[in-house]
Amino acid sequence: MSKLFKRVCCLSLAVAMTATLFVGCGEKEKENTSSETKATVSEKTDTSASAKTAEEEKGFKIDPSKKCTIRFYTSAALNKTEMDENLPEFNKKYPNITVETVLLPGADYLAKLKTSIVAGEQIDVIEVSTANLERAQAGSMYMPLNDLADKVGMDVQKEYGDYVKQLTVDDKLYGIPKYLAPGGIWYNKKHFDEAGIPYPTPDWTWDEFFEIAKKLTKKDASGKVTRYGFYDWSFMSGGVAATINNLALFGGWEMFNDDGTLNSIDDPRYKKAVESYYNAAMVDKSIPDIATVTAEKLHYMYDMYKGRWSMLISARNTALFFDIHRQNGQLTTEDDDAGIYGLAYMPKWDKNSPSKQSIDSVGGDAICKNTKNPDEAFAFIYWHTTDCLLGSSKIAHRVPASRTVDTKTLMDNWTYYKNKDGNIVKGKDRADLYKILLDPEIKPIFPVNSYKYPYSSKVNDELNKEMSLLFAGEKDMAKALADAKAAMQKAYEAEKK
Amino acid sequence: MAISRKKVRNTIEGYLFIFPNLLGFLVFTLFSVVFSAVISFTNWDMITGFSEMKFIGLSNYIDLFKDNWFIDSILNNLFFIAFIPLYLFLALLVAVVVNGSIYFNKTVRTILYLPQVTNVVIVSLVWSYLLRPNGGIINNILMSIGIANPPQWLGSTTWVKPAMVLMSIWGGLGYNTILYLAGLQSIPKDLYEAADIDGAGILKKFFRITIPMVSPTTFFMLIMGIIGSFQMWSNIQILTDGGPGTASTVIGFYIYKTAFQYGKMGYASSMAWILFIIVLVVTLIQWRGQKKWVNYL
Repeated sequence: MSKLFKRVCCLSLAVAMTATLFVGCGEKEKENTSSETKATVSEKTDTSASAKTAEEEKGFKIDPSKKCTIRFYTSAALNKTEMDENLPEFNKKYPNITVETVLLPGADYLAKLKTSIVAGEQIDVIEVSTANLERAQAGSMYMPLNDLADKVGMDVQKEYGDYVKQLTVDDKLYGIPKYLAPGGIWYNKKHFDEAGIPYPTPDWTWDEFFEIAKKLTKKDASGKVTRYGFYDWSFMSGGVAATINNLALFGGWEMFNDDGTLNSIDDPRYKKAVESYYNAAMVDKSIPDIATVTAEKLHYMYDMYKGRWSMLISARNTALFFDIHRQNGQLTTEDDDAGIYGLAYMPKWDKNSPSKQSIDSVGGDAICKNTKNPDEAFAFIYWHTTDCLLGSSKIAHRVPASRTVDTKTLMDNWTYYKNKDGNIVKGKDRADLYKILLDPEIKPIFPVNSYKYPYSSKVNDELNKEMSLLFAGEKDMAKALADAKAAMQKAYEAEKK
Repeated sequence: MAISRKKVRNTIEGYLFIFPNLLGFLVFTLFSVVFSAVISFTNWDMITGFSEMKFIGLSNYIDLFKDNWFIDSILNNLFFIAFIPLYLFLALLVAVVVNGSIYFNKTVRTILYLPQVTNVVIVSLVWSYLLRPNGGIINNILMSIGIANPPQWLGSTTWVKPAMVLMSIWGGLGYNTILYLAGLQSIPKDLYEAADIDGAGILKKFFRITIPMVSPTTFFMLIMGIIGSFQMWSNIQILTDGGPGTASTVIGFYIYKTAFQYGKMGYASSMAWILFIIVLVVTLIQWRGQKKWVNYL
């Protein structure tokens, strides 16, 4: 009896352990993990709501008897904040649709996402952006939205303008733009006044920008820089090649042509862009060099508040975070009250170029190719990119890509923020900055082909490698450019086959 | 016959006990290893599915040896491996000192072990401050002793690897010291007493008794150190992202980038297999060589 009991116990233990081993492999449909937030309010909502929604007016026809769950994958915590605030509103419109927000934070968001899709996870809506839309294999990840948009009568070009191009590959629309990361130049008015330099106008050029930066740079008696003329947000975040590519884009140069062929870095526009940054970093010392940027982990805005540089190439929507920065102590009350930070339009390539051009990248939503609920997912992303953005604009400050969002309400809501106690309070009126931020005359530009091809990433890495050596002082410019050209061509040919 | 039946029953019970682990090994390790070997001969990119996968023979393996990033990564790893004897020697020296009677012995041991239990991100950030080219503590010290142009450290192709070695020595010293302390305590005291009677000095005892007697520990740490060097990644990603150029790119970092950034799973798998072969060969050489220098009591 005792032996039999022992055997039964052993067998049960073995089975239990085996089962436990595989429990983790199954899809957790009901479980709520720490990184996964589930918000369902359908039970609480009034299903009899009969007022016509914007979606219904647009032609969205969702079967109210079909219950479904939409899983929204995002890397941005701000999306979760928005969803927590606004999901009840969505469920008033669509009580049958449950939305789960799954947060995948970190720089490897796209890698995690691909792995999850391959593993067969239920993924319906995917947060995408100009930089992280998988263009090389777009059709393997996302569902084209052209037909869905046509079905509901949505004119995406009219509603989002050129921003849709950033989420379009080979004429297939893979994402609906939601918000912008709009380019702009921040400048310290106090530093300009001290140096007797007039504030920038919309017609200033990049040559003037670098010249002003040189004038604003301060050095001590030993030649050590005590204040840089400017800093570029992308210098650290995207690598030095991305910074130079952005500048060359103002001159119309891009790494790849429309047919996918490699553009030459012998192009005078590219050379001018390299020289401008090289002279700034290595000769004039008007921007911190790469060694300093790498070692000091400089923060583009906080270090500007500390007076470490006078101008900043960054995003116009930084204006939306001033109240938070002030609350957290990064921006001093005195400086903020004095309004010492001005926002300028990005400079022109040369005198003959159009003014008010800006590298505006977008973030938005795509639908996963594996979704079983495309109509519901599309209704969700339309709401998410419009009403949700506006509805949460007191706490999640974002610049909309859609032209239909009520900008007056938006600008009013932007004056509010969530304080440390979690209360929504009114901040400083910054209407002057918000007007520049939303200026309809700004012409967005972006690298149309740079991320598009399977070989884009590898070729860009070759360029970045050589540019990083140039800016580390390890190679001279002619050698770095020649080596970059050869390496890019080799990578392009190898990858293209 | 009865004994044989009992044996069979015992065997079945034994297999039942290891079955969960065996199943886990088969599914999560063996399958992955075999799968990786198979896809290393394909152009699989993970996302397009198996229908688009094509067998391309040895192309991935041939391309590897034309890939400068791969070659640079392997060379960088070999650079780090070359410093492992230095890591071990320093750890042994510290262990010998700590093993003797010194003041605040336990406090010193705790301090030595602290880097091992500190988050790698925090350690990397602290070192980035120490290694600042302008105003960093290390360069300030170097300038105060008369070095007018101290290294750019993380921003220089020449100095980025020595900076990483410095960080690794500091980070791994505590762990290596603890292992050596355990090894030192297993050395019979009478060996030192006999050496004292023969008139041997401290150095002679260190080189003739201590080093040979801790050789099994050294052998273990050497193998683990080499494997660890090939797995180096996190501090490099945090501090340099493999740059400048490819100066600090290591093989683990490049495999990840190839698989998930470039989407070339097949090519990344072929790199992983070459890495496996390198580690295997190095370990076999060490295993053969150990007969000549490792002393087991």
